[in-house]
Amino acid sequence: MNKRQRKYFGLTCAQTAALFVLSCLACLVVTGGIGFVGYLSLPPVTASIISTSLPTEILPQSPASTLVPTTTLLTSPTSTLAPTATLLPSPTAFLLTTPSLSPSQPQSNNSLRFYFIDVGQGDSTLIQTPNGENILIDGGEKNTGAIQYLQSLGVQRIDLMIATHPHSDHIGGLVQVLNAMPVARVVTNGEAHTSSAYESFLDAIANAQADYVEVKRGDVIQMNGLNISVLNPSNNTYPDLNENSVVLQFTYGKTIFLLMGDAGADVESAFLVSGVPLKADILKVGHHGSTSGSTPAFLNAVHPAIALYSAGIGNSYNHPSPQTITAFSNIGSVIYGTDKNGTIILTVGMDGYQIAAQKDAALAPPVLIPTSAPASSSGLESISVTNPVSQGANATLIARTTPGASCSITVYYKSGASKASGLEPHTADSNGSVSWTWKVSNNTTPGNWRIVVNCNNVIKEIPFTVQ
Amino acid sequence: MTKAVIDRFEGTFAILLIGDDEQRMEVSRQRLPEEAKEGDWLQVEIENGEVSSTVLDQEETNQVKTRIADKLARLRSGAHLKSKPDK
Repeated sequence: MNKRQRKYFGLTCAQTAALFVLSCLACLVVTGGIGFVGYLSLPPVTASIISTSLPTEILPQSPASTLVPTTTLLTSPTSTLAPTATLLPSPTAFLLTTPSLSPSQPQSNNSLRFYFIDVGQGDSTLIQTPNGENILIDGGEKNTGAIQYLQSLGVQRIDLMIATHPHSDHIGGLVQVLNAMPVARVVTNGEAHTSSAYESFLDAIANAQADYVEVKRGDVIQMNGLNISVLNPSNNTYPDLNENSVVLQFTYGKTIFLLMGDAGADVESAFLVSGVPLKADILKVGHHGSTSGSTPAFLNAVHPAIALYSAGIGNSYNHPSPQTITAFSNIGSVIYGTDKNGTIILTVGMDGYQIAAQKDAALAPPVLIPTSAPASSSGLESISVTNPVSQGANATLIARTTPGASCSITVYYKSGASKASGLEPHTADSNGSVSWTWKVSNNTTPGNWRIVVNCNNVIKEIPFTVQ
Repeated sequence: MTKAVIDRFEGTFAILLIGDDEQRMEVSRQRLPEEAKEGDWLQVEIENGEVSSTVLDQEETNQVKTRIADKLARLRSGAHLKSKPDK
């Protein structure tokens, strides 16, 4: 399994796609659920934070952390962090050498993996780096399963814990993680709450003797080659705790991520005004997909291929809102939610990404994104398709190409090219997006078939499965 | 009466954390004093699993605020790291 997965990103689209489908099916069969447990190993690592704070404010400390047997720890007490006035200035400041935790297993692959953990109505995302570092962003409410999920994955330590903001549906479950395993560093937005959950969180950080750091816009968190930009909070904080959420943006290979926390329209608008580049392939939707954010102007700027939200089944708050789902559908994003899909796993290689969900859902069946084409000015940048698709169900294929490109699609089943309606040629829109939706007939023979997309005579073939 | 804190508002609901075990409860915003804000402590009466009355507890809010500010200052200063044993 590992060998096969490790090769994913060096293969052609068709090979990659085929392997992924096979691997996923195998995993699902073997484990009866998410089949990637134990996939990433946990090697010794050194993390660091490069901050844009003024060098003069560096206050070296020498608390030899139990987690840092050999490294000198330079850290800046967070109250003195001096965020810069503009978005994303070049990080020139100082280097924080972070806790290198005790060695464990060697590195086994070069992919980055996200687990959008189903914690009901709350938020919790684990990111495992190619070097095996564990980054945990939020932990859901207290006792909603984040710690159990981490333990089921074999996670033994957290190298970086980020609390986006101090509401209990984000920090509650972090307390149990802090109590259960070594945590090297905790990053927050520095905003205090007066809740019991927040006080428990502070107590747990102190008891865990984790490094405590507050970040602001302009800071960059570096984890062995992964540069995570902090876009929010800014110097001008909002009265609403949600709007001061830590918002993170980073790139791995060719894939850009934007994680919004619970930030909403105020922050979105500030981003648009600031001119910060917002285009992302993967968007962690703000505030559980509520109407407080995901404004049309913001969605147009981000234009994500994949939009993921976290929400609990049957919650009382209308999360996600139907308007938000429609807004993402309108721009061609494929939508995943932990309420519909359970825990969602996104595996990112240097050239592309794959997504697998614990539960299928009509809203968002598993989708395969083959590796991107080389960054050329023409041709097909990416293709995503409903996969697998059931007999009698609708399938959707979305391609990214140059704006105005003339595109055609041919779907080949056992009986030959499909003549289904919806497969007519289309012209790519002003964002270079083109999509087709068609019905897979009840009579279509189940099996592994192929789709050929042609945009301005650049042709790509991808496999898909009818079940 | 039990102590509770307003963790947050979601639409027309307030989410309360009740007592030392931080038990979560959703209540309609209308059931709270009009001036109640996020982070305010309350004295609540619970009957049949429902919050029947709420009174703002300004004194508790002030006490918790001060206590949390101290704890946060300690984390920011790194004082909590100083008791770490050398290894």
